[in-house]
Amino acid sequence: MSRCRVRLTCLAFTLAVALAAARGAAPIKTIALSPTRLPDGLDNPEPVRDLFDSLLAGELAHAGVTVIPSTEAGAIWKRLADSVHGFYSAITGERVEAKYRAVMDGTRRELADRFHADAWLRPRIEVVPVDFQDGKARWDGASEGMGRGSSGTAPALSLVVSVSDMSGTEIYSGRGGIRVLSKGSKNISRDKFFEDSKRNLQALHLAIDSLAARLRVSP
Amino acid sequence: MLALAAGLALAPRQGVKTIAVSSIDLPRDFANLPSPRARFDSLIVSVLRGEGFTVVSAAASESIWVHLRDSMGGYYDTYTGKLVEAKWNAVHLGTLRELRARYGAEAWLHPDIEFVGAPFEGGKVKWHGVEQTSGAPGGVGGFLFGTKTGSVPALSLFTMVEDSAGKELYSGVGGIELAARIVGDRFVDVPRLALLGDGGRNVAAVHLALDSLPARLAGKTGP
Repeated sequence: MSRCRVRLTCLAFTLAVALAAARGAAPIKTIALSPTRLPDGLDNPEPVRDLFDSLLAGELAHAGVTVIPSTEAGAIWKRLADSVHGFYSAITGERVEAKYRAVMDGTRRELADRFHADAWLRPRIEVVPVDFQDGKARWDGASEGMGRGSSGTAPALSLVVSVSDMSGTEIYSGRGGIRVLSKGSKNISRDKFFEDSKRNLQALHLAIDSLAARLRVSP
Repeated sequence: MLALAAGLALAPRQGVKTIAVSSIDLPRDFANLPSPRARFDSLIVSVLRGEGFTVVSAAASESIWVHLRDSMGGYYDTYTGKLVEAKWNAVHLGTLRELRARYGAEAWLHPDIEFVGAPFEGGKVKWHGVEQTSGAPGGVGGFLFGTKTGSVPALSLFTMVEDSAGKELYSGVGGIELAARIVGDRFVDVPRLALLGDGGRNVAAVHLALDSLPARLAGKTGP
């Protein structure tokens, strides 16, 4: 699918979500947060996870909703995943959909029953391929200089959030570009992926600002 | 000459004599097509036999592999879906041991077909020992309209042979055919079902990938 079609699909999805809100979808007063899922290979993932969890929690609280901290959803998820001994096949490595569904649905039910959550936000950081030309990479609302006149494809990081209601229907998704991971022959060292707090914060806003705006206007 | 060739073919092999084979590993697009797999599996066995090896079938190695894999409950982490290398290595080395103990296999051959980028200049593409026309203008056409260069998707057969301790003894490669042709300024994919069906090209690729194997294994007796 072309990038243009992807953008149009995102736009259509956002409009559909806005339309549903305007038609009187239940307002979100309490939102549960999952721990941010990170790409493989980070030397020290915990501080990165804590950083994005707390940035997200702060921004959502600022929008006026009660936030169930990520430790709660994380603990429920872990307990349910343990109860099915993990949801990947040991033989093929593929996800066993029935087990995965059981963990997802069970976590959602428990977040609703115990914490009265109206919505569940699951954030992740992805490595995405980014095309750049004329020395500029543009992706997921972010941009970064790549060196004068250069063009090609480079890996980059994006924050991706997905929000579902308590019936499991996705009601929001958003993305924000964080940073490019290599420029020419120079690879950014792993311990520097998230060192630019301005870029981290910008990615957060790109990913959740339209959700926060919706939450603020909810009665 | 003929008598000499026949004599060489029948002469007792030095070094590795019995070789186990795996079923060919195909690119994802072809993984569920039975014909290319059967075609290449049988060609490889027949070329190896022609070279004087005793061949242990892919069914035998697969059955040992599956038995060992299942006996340790698989080798993927059920929480992450990632391969647990220690478990995979245990299955791998266990299969090599069993192949040697039960069938006397001193080596194990793994063939796979992969997409590669084949470099072209004008109308000709040469890669991994074979040549094919790209569809781009060459010769007089190239002279008149400009010669194009680049790389075009192609299929090649790779082979790797390991000894019963898992040490690589041999690797070979043979180009099969182009997976796309150049039409005007763009690549047009050859329909997947039309690929890997040219008997002559398949045989040539298997020979390219395996013909220097006997010489390379002549002095190897395994650990």
